[in-house]
Amino acid sequence: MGTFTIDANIPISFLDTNINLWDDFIKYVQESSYRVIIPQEILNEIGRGSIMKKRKVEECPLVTVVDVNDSLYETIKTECETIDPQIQDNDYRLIASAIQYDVNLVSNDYALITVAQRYKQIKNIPIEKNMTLTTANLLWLMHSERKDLFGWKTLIRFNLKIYRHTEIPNTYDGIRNREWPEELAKKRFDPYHQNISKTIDGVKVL
Amino acid sequence: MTNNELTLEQLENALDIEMETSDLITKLVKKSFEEERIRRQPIKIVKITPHESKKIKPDFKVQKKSVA
Repeated sequence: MGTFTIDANIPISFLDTNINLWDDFIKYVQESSYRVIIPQEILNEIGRGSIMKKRKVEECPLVTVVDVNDSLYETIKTECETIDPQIQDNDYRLIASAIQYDVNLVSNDYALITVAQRYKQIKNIPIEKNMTLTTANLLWLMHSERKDLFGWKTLIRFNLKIYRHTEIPNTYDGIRNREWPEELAKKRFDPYHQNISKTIDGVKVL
Repeated sequence: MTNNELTLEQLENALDIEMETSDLITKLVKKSFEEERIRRQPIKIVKITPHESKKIKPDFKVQKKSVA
């Protein structure tokens, strides 16, 4: 898979004290000889929420802070605004970084993932190139590639933790304050449920 | 990042994409493991059997020493 460009919500949730997935993620990156990049503006966004989390990301030797080409960013923003004008400037910047550095994109923002996928379709970018991964996808990738580091029990534990501490509060806030349909709450568990079911199916009964 | 305007339809589309990505990951990982397995296969050592070794003859003639 090579290199990942990560959205702010990845370190924010992984460094949550209830989740604590950051160190496992970095170990997986290191052991697999992968790399992580993060655009400067996204790093600043993490810092607006927590200086400690920003510092933790900044100080990680496997994470490279990168600049995004302004003209590429403007082009992608103009093109993506026709797909969904609601996503934010940093979302366009993250998509631009994936294209500029030819890497995979990881975000737990479903609106951003949809826009990035539509952009790829419009530009005829093959599905396996510049892959867009959600948190659930990343967990599945880590387990599929490195069962030695991220076994089935660990996978299940983190799927449940992220659902409990990231998805439920986010969906609760969405329903209460952002007029989300209640049906969203159920559907947001689906990817985690799939991960858990698939890994249990894959465990050999001795 | 927050997704203030996310609708159920948008979420359903994104979830479909997510499931496809998950399947794609499985396929790509299986493929890369297979490539790795092939790459790591040990080099075959070809042994010359005694029968075959007899066929290999020196390309020079051994001069017989004359007995005085």
